[in-house]
Amino acid sequence: MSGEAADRKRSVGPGGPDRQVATGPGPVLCSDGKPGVRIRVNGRDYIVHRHRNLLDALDEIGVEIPRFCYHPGLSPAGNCRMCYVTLADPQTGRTITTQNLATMREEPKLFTACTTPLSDGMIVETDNEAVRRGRELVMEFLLINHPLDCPVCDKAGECVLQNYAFAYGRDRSRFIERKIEKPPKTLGPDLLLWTDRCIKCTRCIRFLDEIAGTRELAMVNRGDHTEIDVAPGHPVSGPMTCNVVDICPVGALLDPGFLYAARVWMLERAPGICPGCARGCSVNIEWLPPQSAGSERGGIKRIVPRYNPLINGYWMCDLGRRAHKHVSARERLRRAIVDGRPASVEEACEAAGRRLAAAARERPGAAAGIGSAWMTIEEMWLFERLICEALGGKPPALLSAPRVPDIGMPGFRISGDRNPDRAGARLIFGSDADDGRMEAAIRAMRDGTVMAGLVSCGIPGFVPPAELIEALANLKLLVVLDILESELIRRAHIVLPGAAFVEKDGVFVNGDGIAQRILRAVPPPAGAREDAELLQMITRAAVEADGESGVERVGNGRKLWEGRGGASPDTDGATAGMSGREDGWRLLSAREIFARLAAERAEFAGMTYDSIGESGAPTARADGVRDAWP
Amino acid sequence: MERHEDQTPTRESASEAGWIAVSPVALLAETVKALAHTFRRLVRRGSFTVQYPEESLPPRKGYRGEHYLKRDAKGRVKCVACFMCAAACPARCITIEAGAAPPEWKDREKYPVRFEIDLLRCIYCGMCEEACPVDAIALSGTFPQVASSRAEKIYDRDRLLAIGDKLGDNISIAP
Repeated sequence: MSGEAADRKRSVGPGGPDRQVATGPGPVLCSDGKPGVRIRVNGRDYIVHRHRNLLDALDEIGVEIPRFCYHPGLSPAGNCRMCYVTLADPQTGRTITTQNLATMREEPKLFTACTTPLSDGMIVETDNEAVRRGRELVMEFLLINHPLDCPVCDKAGECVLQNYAFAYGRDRSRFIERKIEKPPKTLGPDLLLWTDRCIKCTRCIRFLDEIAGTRELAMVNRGDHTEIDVAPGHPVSGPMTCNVVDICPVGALLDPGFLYAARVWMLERAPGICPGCARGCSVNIEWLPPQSAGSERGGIKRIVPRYNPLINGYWMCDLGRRAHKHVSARERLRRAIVDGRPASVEEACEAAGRRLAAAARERPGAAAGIGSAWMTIEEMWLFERLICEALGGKPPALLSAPRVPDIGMPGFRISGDRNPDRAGARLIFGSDADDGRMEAAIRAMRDGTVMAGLVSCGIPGFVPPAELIEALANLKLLVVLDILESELIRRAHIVLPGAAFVEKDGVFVNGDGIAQRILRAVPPPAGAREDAELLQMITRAAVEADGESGVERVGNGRKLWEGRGGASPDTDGATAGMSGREDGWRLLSAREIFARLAAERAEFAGMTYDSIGESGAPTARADGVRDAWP
Repeated sequence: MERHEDQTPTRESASEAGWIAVSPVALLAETVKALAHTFRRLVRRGSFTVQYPEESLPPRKGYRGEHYLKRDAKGRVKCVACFMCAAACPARCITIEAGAAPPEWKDREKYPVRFEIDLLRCIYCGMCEEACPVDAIALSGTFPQVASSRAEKIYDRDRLLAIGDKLGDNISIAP
């Protein structure tokens, strides 16, 4: 035993401070007031929450304990034997020992922290000689048949086995036997298995049993023939499949959608929100910078879940993982179009604003707006300003992706509302936005009351209803703000290319009323702009076409712009992409728009981008009570 | 020459000592010796000049010139597209695009669909060769050739393989 370890052992000896730990009076409370447990780790005393096991408690303290099979979102299995610790008797302070049957000597007994229940007064050592030796032996066993194919393995760089082999393993194996080689298998349409890389931790099996509930995977055979497999004819096919790729500690289970797309260390990442449904899972957007080392084919490579106990825990569905496909689609709009001819974005916004204002001047109420449940609330706020105040139209109607049934699982639920911000639209446009207003708008377009329309869509794969398309054909002017080619675009007089959810800043409100930020991770395609920027430029053109009266109307006592050229107090670095204007009009950043919106709307009262942060914040209900899901 | 410098006191030390460092006579003698050397070389046969590029000297051991890619025992590109060279490259001149190996390559999983080195960015440090875990890339002793356009200096996979083929260093132990 090294001197350091001997010191630690002395410090937990009988009659010392450990008695105080073991028999303190009264209930123990953590610093946040919740009930706690006193434990002594490596000679230091801590109070931790009442976790279900010792490993979670050690994680809370911040002591690094290596593990392969344990995952905080799954039941403990205790089969990898990597999270070894030694325990001491709280009464005597003596380390608990066991007889080594090879040497017949008493040695410290190794406990797996993941299957050891947490109890008050525990005395734990996590880094003594016995623990270190135990881990080293486990690593050696795990690597007996693990192929040394890190150069071709997609997990390299984020592989737990690779990192632990470096941190806790021996530098060479004592085994001279040939490694067992097994061919890769296809386990399902979204899942490949490199059989010989598997270390049999059973995380994937437990995930499909406990969270997805589909139970497709099982362990077959015994000894070193053990492998993960599916029942013949029953591939892994549920909507949660790719989570097993994330939780696989080695490169055994891989996603064919990401296979060989990039080495993980080349990826840049930013926190974001999945737009796939009203749940709004917290995700990390990972992309390859266009000029990065080794590859020129940049762009978003994958979306992976980001832990958020309020929303999605550790998981997300496969639909969300594919939600970035439209960002680099061929059908992406890359230039503005005015009357069938390409134009600059500035010209197109100018034309849109001027012609919408002209229609509104001709007959009040002749300009109408249709927003969508894929807009951020900042865009909705600008949109409503433009339609209702600058153009004097009725409150906007709402486009949304059609509702499908929810998908419920034992540990997860995918919302059937395939829109990220319907709740936000109800708050900004009004609670009746997606009910009766669309019928009224279609009627108004049919009978000619509405002559000019502004549609902001941005829904990937959206098929507009036939009656809407038919009604839009009656318009003398149709301005469409969208990201992809569609039937709407083909009928539009003016097309404005907008930004996808990874290309703009803003806030979505999910189905449980939690406001969450999306962040600009990558720039929009050249020729496209952030929607908030487009809407502001249209508003400006519309207002200026009306002269001073328009400025007054939009001003309306609560100015959209803080005067001409006036700097606002909440100006900060978040104005990327928002260019200043020479004549004094300054485009507001999403952060600045949110600050104005929060000052106006009770649901967002007191909220800022910083208070929403990366994990979201619940909006207030009508009665002002903030009530977090669940 | 070096010896001469060693013997010459600096101006400061000479002035401190109070005597003149080199006498004119000694200077003249050295000049005559140097001229004698020059004339001897003038009449002797042979020359040190190499008529590059018609002729060239063999590179010294360890010289780092143009890169080449090696082939495995079955004649396929040996590179497994692990990106280690690109990660190690300080000039960021290596561009790789990985892909699943063709199905007929039974023992291979991954290979470079595209492998390019921009020799105009390359600093010939040899880190790529050192980083390669399968000994697939190496720097030859060949001088980098001149080119008439920038595009010509971007060597693609097949050109790099062809350089290796020409050198004959294309077969080694399969990874």
